[in-house]
Amino acid sequence: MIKNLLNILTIILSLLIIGCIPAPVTEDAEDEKKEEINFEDTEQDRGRDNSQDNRNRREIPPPPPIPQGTLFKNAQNVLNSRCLNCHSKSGSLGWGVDKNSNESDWISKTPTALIIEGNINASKLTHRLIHFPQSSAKTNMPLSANASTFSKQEYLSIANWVSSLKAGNRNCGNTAHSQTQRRIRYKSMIVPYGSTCESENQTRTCINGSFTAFSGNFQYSSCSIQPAINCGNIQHGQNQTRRRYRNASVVAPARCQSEVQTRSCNNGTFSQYSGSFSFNSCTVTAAPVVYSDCGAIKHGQSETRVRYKTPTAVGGNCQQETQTRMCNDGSFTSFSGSFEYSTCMMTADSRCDDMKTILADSKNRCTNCHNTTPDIIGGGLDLLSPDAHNRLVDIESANPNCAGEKLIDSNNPDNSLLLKLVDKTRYDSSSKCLQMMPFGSQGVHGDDVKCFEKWTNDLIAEHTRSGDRNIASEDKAEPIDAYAGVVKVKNLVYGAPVTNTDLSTIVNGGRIRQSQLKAKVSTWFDQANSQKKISLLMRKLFSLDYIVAESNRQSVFGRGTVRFNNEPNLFRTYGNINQAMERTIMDIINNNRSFKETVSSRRKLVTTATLVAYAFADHANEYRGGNIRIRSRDEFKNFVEANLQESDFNDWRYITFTQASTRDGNIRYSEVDKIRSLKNGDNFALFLPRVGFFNDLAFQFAWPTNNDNVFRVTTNQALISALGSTFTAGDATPHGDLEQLSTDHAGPTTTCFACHRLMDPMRATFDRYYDPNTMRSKPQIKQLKSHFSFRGVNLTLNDMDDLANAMADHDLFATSWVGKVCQYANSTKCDENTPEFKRIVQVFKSSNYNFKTMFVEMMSSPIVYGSNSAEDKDIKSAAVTTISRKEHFCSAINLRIRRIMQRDGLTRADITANNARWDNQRAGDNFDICAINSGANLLFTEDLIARGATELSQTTNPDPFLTVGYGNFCRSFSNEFGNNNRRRKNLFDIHSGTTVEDHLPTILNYFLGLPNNHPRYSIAVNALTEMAQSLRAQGKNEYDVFREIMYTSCMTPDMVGIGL
Amino acid sequence: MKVNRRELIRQALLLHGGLRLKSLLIGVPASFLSHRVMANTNAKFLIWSSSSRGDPINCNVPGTYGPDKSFIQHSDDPDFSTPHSFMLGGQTVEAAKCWSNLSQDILDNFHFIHHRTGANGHGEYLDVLKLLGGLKSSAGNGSEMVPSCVAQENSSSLSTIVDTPVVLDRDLVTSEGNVMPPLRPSVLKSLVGSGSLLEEQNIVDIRNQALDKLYRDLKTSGTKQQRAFLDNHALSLTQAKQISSNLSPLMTDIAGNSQEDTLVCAAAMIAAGVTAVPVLRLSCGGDNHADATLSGEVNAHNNFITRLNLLQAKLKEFNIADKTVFALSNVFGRTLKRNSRGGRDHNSRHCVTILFGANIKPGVSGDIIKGRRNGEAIPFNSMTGKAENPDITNADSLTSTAKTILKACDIDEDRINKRIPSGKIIKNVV
Repeated sequence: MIKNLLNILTIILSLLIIGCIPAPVTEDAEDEKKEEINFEDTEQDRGRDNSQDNRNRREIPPPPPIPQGTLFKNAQNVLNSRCLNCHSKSGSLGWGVDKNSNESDWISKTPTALIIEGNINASKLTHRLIHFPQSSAKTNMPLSANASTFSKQEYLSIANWVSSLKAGNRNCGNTAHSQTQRRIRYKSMIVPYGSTCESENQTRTCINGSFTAFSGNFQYSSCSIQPAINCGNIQHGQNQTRRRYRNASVVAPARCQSEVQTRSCNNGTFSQYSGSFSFNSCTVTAAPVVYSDCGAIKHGQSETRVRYKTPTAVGGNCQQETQTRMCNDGSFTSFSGSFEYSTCMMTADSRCDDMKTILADSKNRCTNCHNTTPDIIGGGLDLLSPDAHNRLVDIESANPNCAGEKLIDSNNPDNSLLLKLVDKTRYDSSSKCLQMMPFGSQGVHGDDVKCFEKWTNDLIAEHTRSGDRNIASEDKAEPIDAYAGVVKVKNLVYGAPVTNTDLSTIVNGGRIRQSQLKAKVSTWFDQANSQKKISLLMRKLFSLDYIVAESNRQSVFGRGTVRFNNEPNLFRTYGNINQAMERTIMDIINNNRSFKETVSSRRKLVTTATLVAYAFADHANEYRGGNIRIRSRDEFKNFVEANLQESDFNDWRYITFTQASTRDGNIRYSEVDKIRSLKNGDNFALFLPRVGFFNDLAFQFAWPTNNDNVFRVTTNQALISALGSTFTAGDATPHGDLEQLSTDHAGPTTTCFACHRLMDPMRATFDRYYDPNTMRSKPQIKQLKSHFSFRGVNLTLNDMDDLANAMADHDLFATSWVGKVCQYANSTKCDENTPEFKRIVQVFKSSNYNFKTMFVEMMSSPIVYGSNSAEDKDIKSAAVTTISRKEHFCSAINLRIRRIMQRDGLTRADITANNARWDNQRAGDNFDICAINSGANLLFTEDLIARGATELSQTTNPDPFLTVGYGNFCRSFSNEFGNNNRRRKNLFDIHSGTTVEDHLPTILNYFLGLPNNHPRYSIAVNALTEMAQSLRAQGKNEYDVFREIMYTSCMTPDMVGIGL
Repeated sequence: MKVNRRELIRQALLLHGGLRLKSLLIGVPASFLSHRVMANTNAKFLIWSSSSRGDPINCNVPGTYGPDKSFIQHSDDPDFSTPHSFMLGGQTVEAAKCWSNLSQDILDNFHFIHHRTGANGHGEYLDVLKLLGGLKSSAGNGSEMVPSCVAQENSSSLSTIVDTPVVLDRDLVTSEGNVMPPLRPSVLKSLVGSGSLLEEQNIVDIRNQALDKLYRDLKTSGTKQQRAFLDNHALSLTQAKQISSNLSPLMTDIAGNSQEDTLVCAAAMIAAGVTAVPVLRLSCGGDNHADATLSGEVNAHNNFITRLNLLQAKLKEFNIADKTVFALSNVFGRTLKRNSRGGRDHNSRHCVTILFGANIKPGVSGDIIKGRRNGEAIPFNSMTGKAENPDITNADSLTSTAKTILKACDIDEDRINKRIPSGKIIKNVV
């Protein structure tokens, strides 16, 4: 590079020497400087790239250096320095020239004969110079004593110049005679942006000391190009954007469509905007006002009614008026007039005023059930306590058979369920959703119907006066945001943290895309962690998880309490028994078989140990002479301990329990080899009817009966599990044969009869086979008449399979299981009457009772995620926020920590000093971190099945004792994973010197479940970062800080709650 | 200075909680100090014992012996087969001997009420606790359980940390529909004693600041349920710390989860001002269908009496005996006649509730007749407890008993009548 530059300079110098490059005159160069345009940045330009301006500025190249005229210049130097000090222009000895004078001036303006062109001898200038050959002067110049005499060189400079002068061929300064001078001139001093500077080369010639005029017409020594012009605040070349809308307004639910348009600035002028939308703004307007009608009454029309001044008119005429009201957009205005009562009874006495007496009348018997303590047989309806209007007026019946029916309908008193149930005329024209009351009657006694009508009107009037309203009807859930919805569903279904992908897939414009959520839930459902959760849920919903009294097992197998160390095979046999139905249910679910099989199938997953147990139970009662021979309590224990082997507890396969007609002739429990040889799909004959979940030993251990109870609890819990319902006094289903009715307790004249007429014939199905005290088999089937009369289904039962099928085929089966899943998700009983709920029931039925299909449908329903308020206005129970109970909290925390460990290649042994604390299940890497603090674990609540309860019992609110549990657990948890023992690894590798802040993304993404795209992610980062900083300021080391951050994260509402 | 929500909660609890610190300094249980706070109230704590299993406590009490009670069958144990006479409220009564072993200060305020629950199945336990729908919720439009009602009514005047019962056994109890977590004394002792929640205040403040910041937006933009959850969560953190602080020093005598430990834990709950109503389950024999010789019933009775004496001693040690009522009432009694196996079955027609402590008059209310099957309670007079001039009907006997318990806890009668519309207070008891 340097070498190249030197070459270029050499060439230029050579050209100068030979005069190939014209030398502009000095003054032109000065002009150019003066005319140079100031390009300094303006205020607006500062800070931006000005390369564009630099490109726009036309650079005028400086003129090349001009070589001096050699002879004159040399002479002039001598003359100026040696002569003009005395012979200055204006002095008495002056020559009329000065140091700036050019050659022509020297020739023309100096004294006569001082310079004679071409003749040094004649030129006086040279006469007194010491080296002048003909010098005759007495004294040579200079005269000054201090000045030195001219050197020969100086003399020659002058002499050569004078000699070179020839008359008529004088030079023009440094330009020799006849030589030309060149310059560049421009047409304009400044030209607009985008133009070019037009120039021309001009020449002039030196003729005898004077130049001719320059050629050409252009006059400007320099030229600049104007910079580009900005468009206001938008710089030239930059773009301006705007948003324009397709329409000025759209009608909801349409959404405004917009586009971002762009135009660019080009030298003060904008281009056209891109795009085609033209409206500055867009408003979403409500749908065109379509006024709703009020039922049959159109908007704007009116209806009339007759009202009476008093509900009764004793001995006189009823005063009435016709009232009018208008329908205004779906709502009626108030009726005109002031009379309140829809009916007016002309009564001869005031008997109806004492309604308590009417209700308690022995013929009506209303308050036998509907008294102040109405829960057991009164359906929860209290007719006696004060403020009955609050419990009756516009309240829908709690009995599912009469769903949607108002006990008293204030808008249509005649339609009140209360009246329909006690008045034969009304009842006959009603849906007959319940038995007529009082039970077994044709309605209330005599003219008491009129008293009920009056009471109905009185209560409506009282309700209107009190201003009370049905609170339940206004109890609409608020929608939760889409993010909370996704987090809730994934936590419930899977336990894994929500990811950015989840959010970007499911959430769009702040709304949940239901189809995407559904697809995700379907995927989540199949994950191992979800399967464990579903399996646990099944254990509870099928009542297989009630606290088992050890005596219940003892009655069948002789020993209840077992210890693994003492009776390992019996311990494992009980374990197999507990698992068999649960595994069967999960297999039905995961193979897309009809969920009804859980109730009606005899095909079960069992092990050899399970089969041995069932065979033993089939022969457990040995009747001899009418007495029970109690076997040795150790008979079964001794047998399994001696005869079962390891594989007998793990050889799960499907076996169908066929029905044997007798106890004899079947494979006995002692024939282990035969049992062991049974293959998947084989049959196994048993005398006891092991059909469905409710004949499973795990169920029967949980719900033992006795001689006093005689299978009532068994029957009731079976109904609760299968159909989510229990016996109610109001069930109008006709009963079957009452041979098995417990007449001493529940005879037809008692209030107990209402339920027992249904229950006792049904329980007889169990009584055919089982001994109630032991749940062992009877010697032969007891011929009892049994009947299934329940909620509209009335069937005679011939055997246990009939009972199973009656439940499986009942219409409540689908409804109840949708309701169970819904309550599991929302921690409250769901409204079964909403369109969305009914839709899911239909989906379940249409899928041939495919549980997964239904589960996915529910979990991806707005009933659970609860964010699409516009569409889901009928969903009352959506989006319930609750504590995260044990099944959710522990599941989530195990999965999330495991994922971090998997990501980082950590094993449990790497981290913990005490493996056993995590491994109370001996579950290998499926460790249970909740076991890290066994005490705290015991404080976590979980969904419970309470005896007789049709719904799960669930703790929903934060509670200080739960918080004590969470607090202790989280402290153990944070200490374990934030250990400062360098012999162990730390979950977040704090040993390596990283800070907590380095791990916040992992803590939030993996543990807390807040992905980066979650709206609270950045807030959480800031909050925890500040927390870490504050802790350090308190002197905490990095381990302490990490533990506090983990503890706090563990205790956040996001971890201990669901639905945030 | 802007006071945030947590600080308000903390300050609100400081009144009671500060006593804990003071008591530690001077070595006096917090309950002594808390009396100063509660000086302006007569409200009482309630130790509530109830069982879903039913219990034969009804079978050996005063009223089950005598010439007209020959249909009632007792254990062959001489202390049960033969009645033992002792003084109760100035009257001589006959019962199994064990009842006379109650300490005199218990007997001085001890009452037996014969009544009915109407329930015959274990599954009706929750209904019985709600008086079969007869106990209305505080809002008046639902039902509530007896212990929860007392806790709700008295928590404010007793300045307790929580306004719910605390359940020290496995039977389900709800308050406003929310299931109360069942607690085990040993677990509670280890957890509150661990110090996990007793941290330096500056650390707590830092954490709370982080939580406040993290949920600040949700507190304003969340749904009503979400906001309520966040508030309850914050409150529970403060309450949990308060409980740990107050309770831990009083739990030292607890060794496990025996019924004795449960009683000590209940007394500690009261002394520490945690709850107005600890709930537990004491047994005099339990679900004893198969108790062939009734030996289990005999042993359980004797142990029960010993435990009541222990409880009274503990209440006196904590100086809260005069502020506490003990009540035991079960889902149903057992049959007074033994079944074919020698044990006792369910009896919906007879049950005995026992009460002792502050405000309780000694004596017996109600009685038993043979009835159709196994003996049943009869109507009685609320002023005398006798069968003459009965105004407590069989149907009202459960609600009347509950009303009497509420009255013993010094709940205002207007409130009692609002919460339990039917029945009447048995003035013979309180």
